[in-house]
Amino acid sequence: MYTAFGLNIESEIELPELLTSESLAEIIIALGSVPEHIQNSSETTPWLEIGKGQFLLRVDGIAKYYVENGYKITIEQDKQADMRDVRLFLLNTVIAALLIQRDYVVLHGAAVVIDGKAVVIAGASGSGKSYFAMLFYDHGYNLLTDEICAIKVRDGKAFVYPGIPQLNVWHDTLRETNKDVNSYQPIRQGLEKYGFKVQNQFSAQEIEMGSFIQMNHYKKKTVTLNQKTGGKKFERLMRNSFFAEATNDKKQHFYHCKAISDSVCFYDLECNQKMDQINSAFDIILKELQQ
Amino acid sequence: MSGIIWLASYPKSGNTWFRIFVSNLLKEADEEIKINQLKTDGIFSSRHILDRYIGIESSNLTMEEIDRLRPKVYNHLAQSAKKELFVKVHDAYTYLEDGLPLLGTVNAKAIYIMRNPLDVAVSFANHWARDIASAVNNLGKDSFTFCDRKHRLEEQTRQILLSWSQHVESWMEAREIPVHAIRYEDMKLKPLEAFQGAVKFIGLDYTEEQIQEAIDLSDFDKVKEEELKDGFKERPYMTESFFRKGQVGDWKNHLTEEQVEKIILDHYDIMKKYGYLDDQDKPVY
Repeated sequence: MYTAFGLNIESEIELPELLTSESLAEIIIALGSVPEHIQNSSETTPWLEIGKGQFLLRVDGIAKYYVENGYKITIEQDKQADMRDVRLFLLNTVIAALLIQRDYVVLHGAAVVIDGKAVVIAGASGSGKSYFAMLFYDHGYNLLTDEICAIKVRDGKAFVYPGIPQLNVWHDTLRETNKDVNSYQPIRQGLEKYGFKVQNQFSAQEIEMGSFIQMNHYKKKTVTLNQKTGGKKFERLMRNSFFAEATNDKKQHFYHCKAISDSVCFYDLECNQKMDQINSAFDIILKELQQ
Repeated sequence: MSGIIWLASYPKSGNTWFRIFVSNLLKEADEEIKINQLKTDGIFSSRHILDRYIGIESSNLTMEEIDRLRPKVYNHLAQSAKKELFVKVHDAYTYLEDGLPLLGTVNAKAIYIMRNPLDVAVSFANHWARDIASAVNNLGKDSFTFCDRKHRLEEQTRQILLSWSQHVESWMEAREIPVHAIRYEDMKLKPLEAFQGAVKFIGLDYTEEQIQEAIDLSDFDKVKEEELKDGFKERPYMTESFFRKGQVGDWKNHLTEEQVEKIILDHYDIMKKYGYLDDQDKPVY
């Protein structure tokens, strides 16, 4: 039995990346056959089908995953697939789909805890989310999640739920933050991306969300951090959302996103990949958030 | 018609200029095209497009897995497209291990934009804020590749360019899709003829006047001025400007004799074949 995102998970496969739990299961993960297609899908590609309460994902050479009604995940594993690979995609896109079916707002992002509030760091692949999460970790801050940021709204306030206590970071991130790459396991064979466990600095409870930082690609010579207002906040939430079309209740999803926009400070961060800019950006963020 | 029109080129050969032209051609009558909001449809090496269709993060895939997926994604896009999609590509036209092309070929054709490698070297050096000698060397490397560092996540997927000569040859000899070549120098010196030929190949129905208007709206000085005023989102942070000079033959102001000799030595056959060297093996432009 495991726990993640505020849910207790019973799993037929081992999930060493997750914290364990003794409580009753709310989610089941099982091995088995998945449907060839789902009925009445609103979104279909050769790899992905999304319908009301149904989500089907095919990862070539790894597995097919079927998510039903926010309750069950079935995995049809390819014969040659490494279980480590099966877990990687399960604990990313697939679990995001399940969370969306359970009416979470799910963002591509990491989250850290600063002065008792959750700070979400969102952005496209390669924009530096995990790198910044590592910087926060190195400076003693607790982490809430990496890659999948699951949010629920209660009484007009947004709460970020604790995800998987691991940062998936690239070789250069480990090296540039003075860590011995050889001490960590690659998350997949053939990929120089490693699992960095953070249980010792991990918030196991949901935390009220205070800020959202949009990481933007590196086109400027100087670091800028600008607060955003109005419709731009909502637009940034939408931009960073996983499969909003998989939600059961689009109206509720809209209102939750609006509540998040209304209650949280939003920022755009622009910096390039040069070390001095990244460190400067980190200092600027901390100074702004601690005001 | 629908499907994919690949806008292919070695870097710094006029691809963006052509995309600005296409955007001005496709625009509504009273619409003003901005360089930061072109009407073309992304780049073949975009992770964003790839991730959107495969449903997972390409950052969790190896480069080889990504290469096997790219043609499938774009074939799917081409099959389901309701209109023509203009997609930029810098990759050379290469083949996967199973013999299939890396590029999507379903409902596809390509415009290949080529430019004098002497001018490409100068523009390349400016774009990446590197010295010209490095740019000259890179043009000659058959292993030259963008975004292939394994220890970090690159913004785009890996793009195998090969050498400049091999890049040109790979596209001009592509078997699976029709390819129409257009030279940067003809776009500058015989614009109506050059752009008309491309428009006809694509299969678009525009008058000579409409094509001329789109050419005029894509004028280099105009876009350079726009970049000065509003910036250009495709400019790398380390370079002062994306639109530098836009001239034919500016290499004469920058390349040493040795650099010119090296480029001609490295690319003689292709330069000769496509009119960049005259009967005395001297540069034409």
